[in-house]
Amino acid sequence: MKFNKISLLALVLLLTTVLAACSKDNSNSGGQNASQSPAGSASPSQEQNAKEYKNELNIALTAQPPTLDTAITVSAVALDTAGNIFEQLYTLNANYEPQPQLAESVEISEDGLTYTFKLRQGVKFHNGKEMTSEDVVASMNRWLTTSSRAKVLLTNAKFEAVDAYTVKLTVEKAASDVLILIASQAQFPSILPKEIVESAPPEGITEYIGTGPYKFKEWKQDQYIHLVRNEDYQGIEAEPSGYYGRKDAPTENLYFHFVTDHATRIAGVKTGKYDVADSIPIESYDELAADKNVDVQTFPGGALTAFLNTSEGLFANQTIRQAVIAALNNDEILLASFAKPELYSLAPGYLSSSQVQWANDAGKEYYNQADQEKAKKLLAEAGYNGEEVTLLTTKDYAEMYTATLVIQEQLRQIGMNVKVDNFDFPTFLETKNDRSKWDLFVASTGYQPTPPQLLAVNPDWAGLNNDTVKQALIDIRGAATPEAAKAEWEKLQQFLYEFGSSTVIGHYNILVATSKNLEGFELFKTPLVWNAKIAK
Amino acid sequence: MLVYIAKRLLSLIPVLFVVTVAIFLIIHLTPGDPAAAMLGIEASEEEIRALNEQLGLNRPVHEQYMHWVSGVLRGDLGDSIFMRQSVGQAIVEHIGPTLSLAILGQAIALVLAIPFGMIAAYKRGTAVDYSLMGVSLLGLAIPSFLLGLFLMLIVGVQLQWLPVAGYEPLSKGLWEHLQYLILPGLSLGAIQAALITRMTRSSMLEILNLNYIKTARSKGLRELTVLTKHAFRNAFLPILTVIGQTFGTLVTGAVVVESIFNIPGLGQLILNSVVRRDFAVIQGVVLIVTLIYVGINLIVDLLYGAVDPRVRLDRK
Amino acid sequence: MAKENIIAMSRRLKKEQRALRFRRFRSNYGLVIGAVLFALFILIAAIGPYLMPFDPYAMKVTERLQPPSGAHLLGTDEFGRDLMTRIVYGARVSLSVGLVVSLLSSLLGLVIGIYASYYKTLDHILMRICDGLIAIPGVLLAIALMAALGASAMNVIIALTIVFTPNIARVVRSSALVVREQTYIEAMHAQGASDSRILWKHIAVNTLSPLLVQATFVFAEAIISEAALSFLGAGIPAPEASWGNILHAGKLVIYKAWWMVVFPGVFIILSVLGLNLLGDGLRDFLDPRVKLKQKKS
Repeated sequence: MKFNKISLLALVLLLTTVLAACSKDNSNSGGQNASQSPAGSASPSQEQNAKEYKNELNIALTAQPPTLDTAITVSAVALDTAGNIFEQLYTLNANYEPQPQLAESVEISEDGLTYTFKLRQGVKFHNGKEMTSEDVVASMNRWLTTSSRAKVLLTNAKFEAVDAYTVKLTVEKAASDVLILIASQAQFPSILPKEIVESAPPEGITEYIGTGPYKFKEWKQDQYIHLVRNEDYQGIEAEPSGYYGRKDAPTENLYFHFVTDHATRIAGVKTGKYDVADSIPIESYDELAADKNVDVQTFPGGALTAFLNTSEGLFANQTIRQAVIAALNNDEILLASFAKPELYSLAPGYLSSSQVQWANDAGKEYYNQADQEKAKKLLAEAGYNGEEVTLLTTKDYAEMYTATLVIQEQLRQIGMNVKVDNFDFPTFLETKNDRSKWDLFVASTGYQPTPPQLLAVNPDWAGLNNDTVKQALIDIRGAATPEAAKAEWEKLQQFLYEFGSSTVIGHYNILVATSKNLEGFELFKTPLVWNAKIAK
Repeated sequence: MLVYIAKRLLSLIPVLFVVTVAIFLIIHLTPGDPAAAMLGIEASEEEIRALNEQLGLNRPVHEQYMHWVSGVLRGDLGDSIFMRQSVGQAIVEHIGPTLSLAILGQAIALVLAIPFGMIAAYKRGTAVDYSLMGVSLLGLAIPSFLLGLFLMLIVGVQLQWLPVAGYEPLSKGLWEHLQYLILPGLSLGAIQAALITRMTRSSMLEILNLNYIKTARSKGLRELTVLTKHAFRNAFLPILTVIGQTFGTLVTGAVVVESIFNIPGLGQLILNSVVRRDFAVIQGVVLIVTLIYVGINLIVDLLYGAVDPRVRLDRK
Repeated sequence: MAKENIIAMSRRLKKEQRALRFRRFRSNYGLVIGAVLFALFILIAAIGPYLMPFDPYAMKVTERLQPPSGAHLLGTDEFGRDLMTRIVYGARVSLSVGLVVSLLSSLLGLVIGIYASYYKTLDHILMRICDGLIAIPGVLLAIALMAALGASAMNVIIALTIVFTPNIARVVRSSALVVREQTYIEAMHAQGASDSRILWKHIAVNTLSPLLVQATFVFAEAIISEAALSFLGAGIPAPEASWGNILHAGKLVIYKAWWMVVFPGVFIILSVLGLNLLGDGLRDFLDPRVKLKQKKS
């Protein structure tokens, strides 16, 4: 064979042929697309409107949720989806105040130990059954045992039925945050029919029946979850605010697609295949901001936090943990994870700087030290001898994965032998629960209304089982005044850094890209789509 | 013919035996306790033991193998730990995109390769021939996932002619379906195209030198007629073999290409199952793809006999 | 036949062959180009890392994703590491994987192949196993093996060796069978030569040229497979540099950093092209049936 004759010409020839073919195909597409668009006809209720709206909304999530059982998962993608199917007794409005959703009102006893909830009447589950106190009691009591936060913060609390539309909650100790806990969003207490609660296997309910504006229709593994409008929805009339208020469900079908591939999510929102794309990787911020069909919305997302395994393995040694924390250069980690300095900020607090009630910078001497010499000294002191350290991560969340790789390198610089274990998100969560399998992981953790709800103080999250922490939580919640509570939290935050159970790396904004034509969409911690519609 | 088919099918038995044993062993050498994984962190020892018993995981490996094989023979591939559905159903849900992609890849390969191969043979020794052969050599050196990335970069990102990645089922319309598959199809078809071009060229060359082509030419038939009607028909047999052999590779190549273009086919399924350590699915997918692969080769061999009466299959 | 005669004849033959070979080598451009490309890559892998001014692992995040420039000839990656350094270190990883896999699978394939050619029962057993393993598509088999073994360079080598050995064994076996049928083997057998002597001194030696050709192709295949596995995240784990790893990261930033896809890609293509040319060339070169100039037609 005469290979010397391989000419550039040939390559050019191939390329031009291929490109010509593509361009031809593309010009066809315009025509075909146009002729196809009337396929999705508007739902009857929308037809009177001057503008016509599509009857489906496509939302691209970053990962497939492990389950839609909100009482057992903290997975944000599960809550994004499930928030349309299920509702709570109380929920948070845009000012983080608890507001009644399925409850009508609450009466709190003088001693703060009894909460009597009046339920709204005539609320129907998706299976047609009316919601009564027995459903609420069953759901809430299950949540008290499954939610990692409730287990710690509402120990020995109990719900009982008073009559068909009244339930009573008794708590062990009076605390300022009981309603907020019940209204909170991470791992929230959905009200489900009693039968479903009672037959729920430990890995979560399998029949998704709630009271919300959308009904569960189909879950196509690795592809999408399809929800359809609940025509019998009995909502409340209040102005929408945060999770609270009117939910009109103007769009008949919601599709939550699992698109772990960032390029696909971005391309999809640009071409209009997706109307909402969650968690846009920061790399693409400029590009999407410049696109005239796309809106990029930001929201203070939370704190990227590194959690250290205090209960098992090498990191059970506090000196080693301190060495690790001393080695971290948070500037570098954040820049690698969030690409643009405008999109993140450095601060040791676990809560948002806008939460004036709680924000403080206790522990700042431990934060962002980037002190390799100190770290090496601490390692030598602890007798570290090249033992392998495992960082657990998931590629489903780019910022978590990237941060983990930077930390791996920073720990390597101080002479540690570091391995990264990567899983998909559900497996990551599962592996995290086995404390023998990891030493450190990074997670983007959303802000919480109050410190006791933070994952950083939750023993179930990363195995932090510490009496000082537990006592501090009791003190915060039992504090007489907000100032006293703040002081207690400052002490606890300082302790977390000293103890080295976790460290905030930095604060990030979440980016959500939507189509320019999208109306009624709200970004409040998560994308809220129950009032969203999109013009044709 | 029937005897031949029967013999071929019989000869598949040892192959499939080895295949299943190999897959089974790989999975079972893997550390980890599926029952514990299934029940989660809070399961008690007894619960795990009970589930192990129920799944038969406490039995010796050969018994488990027999159990799995008897399940497979009844069409039961087991259950996915992660997806809480049967492996069979998971495969059914994911096989469509993979087949679509493989078929499109094959079609692209044929459309490119056969004319190119014929032209190269006809213009042998000229610059056209060398260029085509050079390109095909290059095609063989570019792994499909790399070509996929390059096409994505040029056509999707720079020129923005086609979507960068994603998938829509056929039910959303033919063009919707196809526009997502063109780039992956091209990347997948390129290597096949290169192979088939070379095969077409060389078997055309052999035929073109034969006497009856010369006769046809001397009768004054048009060159195109000679090429397509007389020569190609006879050169088709070896080409068919290559097509058959490579269609199997297409199905497997699709695994990698799917992951680049985010197409929810068998490839995505198996890769997701790898990170999820969902072994029943890995087992099932490998088995099914192998069956497809073996099946296609069998069909090609049979077609071979049907197309060319000179090949007597029942000999040997 | 007298022994002297055979020797004389074989000498004459060898002389002729040598002359023919030289002419063939010169006229075999593919072989020459392939050999040069291959040598170049071996050189890059062997001494390249010592020439690179950067640490392949040290991150400098402020310089992330810079396009090619004077300071970074091929640009930087998403952690601000010098891409050229990463690619050169990656060459070492990718080529070592390719080399070790092709050596290991050649060795195993040779042993399996010649023993299978010699002992009937063994043949049946070994070849059925090979058939079975060949029937499982290579990428899938490798992925399943990697899932079971866990991601590491050593395990990539093990997995790919398992994938490629059966093919080599088949090739060796079929050429060994041809040799085995020849009369001189029969004669040696009759003279009481031991089995292992016949196997290794005579049969194995005669399978070496097809084995060499096949090993070259396996080398190329192994490079591709390693890159594919690493690209899929089932191969060599981060932060180790390998061409597949760089491509994997490059895909995530494909909108912003074309250089992270193009450069490692070109390296893969050129190394595979070189090996393919080398393999094709060697086949033509070593196969006495291929006549000079015949390829032209």
